[in-house]
Amino acid sequence: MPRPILGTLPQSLRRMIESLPEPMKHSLEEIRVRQGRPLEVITRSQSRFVSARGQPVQKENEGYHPTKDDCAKMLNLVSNHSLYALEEELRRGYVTIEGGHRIGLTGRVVVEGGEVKHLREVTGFNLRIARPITGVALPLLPRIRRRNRLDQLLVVSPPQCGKTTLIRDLARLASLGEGGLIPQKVGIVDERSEIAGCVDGVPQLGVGPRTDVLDGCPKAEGMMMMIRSMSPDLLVVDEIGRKEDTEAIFEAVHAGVHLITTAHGRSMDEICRRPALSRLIRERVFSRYVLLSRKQGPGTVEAVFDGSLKRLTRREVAETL
Amino acid sequence: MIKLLGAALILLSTSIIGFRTAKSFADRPRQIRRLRTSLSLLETEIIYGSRRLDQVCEHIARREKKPIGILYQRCTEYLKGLDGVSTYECWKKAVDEVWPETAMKAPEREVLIDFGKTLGISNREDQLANLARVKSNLQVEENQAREEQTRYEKMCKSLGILAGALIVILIY
Repeated sequence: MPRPILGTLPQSLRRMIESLPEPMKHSLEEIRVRQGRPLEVITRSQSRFVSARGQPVQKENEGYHPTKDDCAKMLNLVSNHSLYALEEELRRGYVTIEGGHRIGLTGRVVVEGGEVKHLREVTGFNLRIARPITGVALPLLPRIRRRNRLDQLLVVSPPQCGKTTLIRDLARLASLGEGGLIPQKVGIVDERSEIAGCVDGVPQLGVGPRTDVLDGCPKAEGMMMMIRSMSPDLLVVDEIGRKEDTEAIFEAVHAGVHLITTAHGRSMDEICRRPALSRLIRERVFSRYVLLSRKQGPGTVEAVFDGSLKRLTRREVAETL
Repeated sequence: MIKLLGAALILLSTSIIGFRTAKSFADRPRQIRRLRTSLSLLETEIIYGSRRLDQVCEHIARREKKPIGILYQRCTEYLKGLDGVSTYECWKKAVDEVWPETAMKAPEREVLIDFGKTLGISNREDQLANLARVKSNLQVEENQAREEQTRYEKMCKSLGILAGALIVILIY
């Protein structure tokens, strides 16, 4: 069990989680704390409630129900008694902690002028345990590499299919110069602290030794800042889709920077229908598209397309490059 | 001879009592002022630095001298070590423990403890408003303490000596 995760649990809950059976503890993906409802743990294959004695149970009424006090303590621990420092995080609804783990928060939302201003009375916590998965991009690399560099790449997939993990690993490989790539300067614009999982500006997840991270920075602006200040060879940006992102991508690509980015979508058709993306596709900004799914677990590569959206088989890849 | 020695002892002890009381009158405004300076530091770190409360307290504890430094030192320990009990409880516990070591009195204590109720648990704007309030309240207390100092400090000193003299004369 990672120490930073345990550090955010009040003693009562910590003891229960710590007395779970060993194999379960090692495969935990999420711990869910909801005020007045049973404490839940989720592993890759199953979901169980946790009893007050730390035993996994199936029935709801056997599970321990966290009290208001538990939740208040937990918020104090998560925020380190400093809610004022988490304004932005509370607006986004999650906090990244040391180790790149992430804690989702729910409660009463305070709205001002139609915008989420604050989260009050936090009553739900979702501790998502980050497990570094390295090397996932290696098998894919020969299909998207152009000689010894990565080219303009768009990763398309529905949520929870390993998009972010994939581009993080690509950033790491490019930064290290592994898998037939030459070592490059990599710039990550990490608007939601998902790629590098920064805490106090320091990346917590493996992003490579030559990687600079702009944490919490809006994508469009961040890309320009990176290009101006850090002269990256490769820019890595998560989840594009807004109009200003498109503009920034054109700027970046015309400045001679390579770009790896992702977009939500189930298929290439869906992607083409999104206004901001369709323009990029029409102008052939990207030279490779990777479509992911969850068919054989997260990160299954469904297909690879070239710049004209032609589906590439493994053999064709070698020829087109 | 022994009589004379006894008289000297009486005079000495009453004078010491007098000087000590006078010192506490002089210390009180000085400590309130220090407290206000430390709160300004807290404000800078919270509003502009946006640093975590336990780190801020640790930082201030290292900069400030006794007894203000100890207040922050204790607060840091409690914030880190007490398993997520509320910020207010940590702050109050620290204030309660340090108070006997200071020359400050009940009104300042009220102000400080009241301040603890809002410390850390709201957004920056709110923290700023609270800090401004507690500082102005402390300013009021400081002025009052200063007034008392001018009025009573000298008086205490002379009263100590004179009382001793009176006792000596009466006994003689």
